Amino acid sequence: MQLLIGVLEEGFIYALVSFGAYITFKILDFPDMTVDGSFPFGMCITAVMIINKVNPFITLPVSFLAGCVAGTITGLIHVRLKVRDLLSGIIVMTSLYSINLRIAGRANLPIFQQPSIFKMIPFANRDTLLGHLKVAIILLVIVIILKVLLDLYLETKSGYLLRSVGDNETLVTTLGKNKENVKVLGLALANGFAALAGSIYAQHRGFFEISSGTGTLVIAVANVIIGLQLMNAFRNMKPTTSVILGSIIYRACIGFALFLGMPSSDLKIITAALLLIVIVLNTKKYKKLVK
Amino acid sequence: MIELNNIFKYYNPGLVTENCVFHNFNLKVDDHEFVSVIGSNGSGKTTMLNIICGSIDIDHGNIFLDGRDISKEPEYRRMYRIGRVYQNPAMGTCPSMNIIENMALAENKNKRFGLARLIDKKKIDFYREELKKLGLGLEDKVYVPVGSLSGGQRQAISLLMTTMSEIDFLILDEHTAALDPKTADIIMELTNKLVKEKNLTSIMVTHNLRYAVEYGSRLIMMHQGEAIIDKKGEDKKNMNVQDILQKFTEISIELGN
Repeated sequence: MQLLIGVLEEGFIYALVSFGAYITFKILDFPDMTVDGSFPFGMCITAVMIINKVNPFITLPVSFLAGCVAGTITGLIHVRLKVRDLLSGIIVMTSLYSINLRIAGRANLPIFQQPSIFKMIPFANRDTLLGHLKVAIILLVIVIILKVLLDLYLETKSGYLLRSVGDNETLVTTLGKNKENVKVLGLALANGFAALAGSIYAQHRGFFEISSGTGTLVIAVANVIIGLQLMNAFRNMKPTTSVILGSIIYRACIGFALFLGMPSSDLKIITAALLLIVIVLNTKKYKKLVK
Repeated sequence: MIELNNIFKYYNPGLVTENCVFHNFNLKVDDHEFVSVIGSNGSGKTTMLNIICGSIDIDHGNIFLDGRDISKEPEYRRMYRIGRVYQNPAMGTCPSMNIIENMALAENKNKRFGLARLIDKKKIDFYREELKKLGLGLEDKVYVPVGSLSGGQRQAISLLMTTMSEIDFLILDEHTAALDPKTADIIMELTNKLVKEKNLTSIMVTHNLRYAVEYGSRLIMMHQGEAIIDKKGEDKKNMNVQDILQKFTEISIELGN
């Protein structure tokens, strides 16, 4: 039971990062390494704010905006200075490492004793089943709200323009719009999601740790690919829904590996292997379709 | 009115592969003129279109659109008043979106892409009507992703899309070249109809000499960055495919091919 709730909780938090990865990786076709920096960026800002007695709910929009700034910088480096997509992300990610250390003052900050969004929402008695599920339910509500917002956004004119940049850049120019700005917007949104997830993660775990961002992109991309594979089976499923499910399935696989007794230090290699398997299966299936 | 004044364009300047496309090239296209441009490969036809639209920079010279110097303006801004159809039918549409979504995007050209919903359900009938005019049966396929339509169908949609917003200029870059002869004829007929209906100032690059002779009000033949034939009005009407082929042969002999 404990394990299952844990899977759901982590699944929901990483679903938020995966929304961002869906925008960059799937819509814009941009492998954005910035998230490995903006996820701990959100954590770090949140930890410092909470220690300084800021209301935990305020940390959420602030982290989102901070993530947007990080994404915007990556975007500007890419479109204005013509640096390759992967490299622009790595440059910002690397600098965020130092920035995070500066803001936090050290490599980890515990906030177990401090208030958090989870402690602020009083509901259900600790002894009931609902009480146990409380954190998971709060996370589910947050994920659903953001999913609906993202779905609505993708139906707007601006959302469609974002989709056209990934689909056919030339058309965006023909429509009299600067495709560079649209790309920057997409990266800003994606990193906003990553930093927001970081903020929630820090409050959930009760600490900021400098290395928590390593592998964020890989996890998020794995979630997106697993999720979209599912969507192929269920035609009418919204991509955002599949991304959430993908994130939970991915977590379940990791949870299962831990359950089998693998040490948690092996987690990253499990992640990498899982991603490789999914990608290979994906391309094989694609080849079949082409034939 | 489109004016190209003293255009200089070199590819790979300073290298062994330096190639001069335009050396002091001038062209003036009057309002409501429909110019067909022909010429052998490498004669500068497509480069000329790219220069007008801003897809490539020029080394020297000025480009005027209705008297306003646009030489320094970025490509997307020039597109406010220009519509462009490419040789590759995939360039004019978003493959993963359906016909309605593509048309709605095109209709929103030059307007704000803000947080309002893109698809207006009330407009769908209007889109269907517009598609019906193409006579390709596309009005029954409005929810099909454009990527799964044929090249001819996509090109027809691209063409329709460019004329859905208020534009004054139409740039056609060998837009029938990738289509089979029958579809090409349909698209060409459609182009002519749209240009006349909307009273557009158009430049069409084509390798099809018959189209160049039959359609348009002016014919230009390019060779080594210069317009070696430039006929309009009665002169243009009196031209036939044989004359042009003759000219092509002359050039070939000159170059020793």
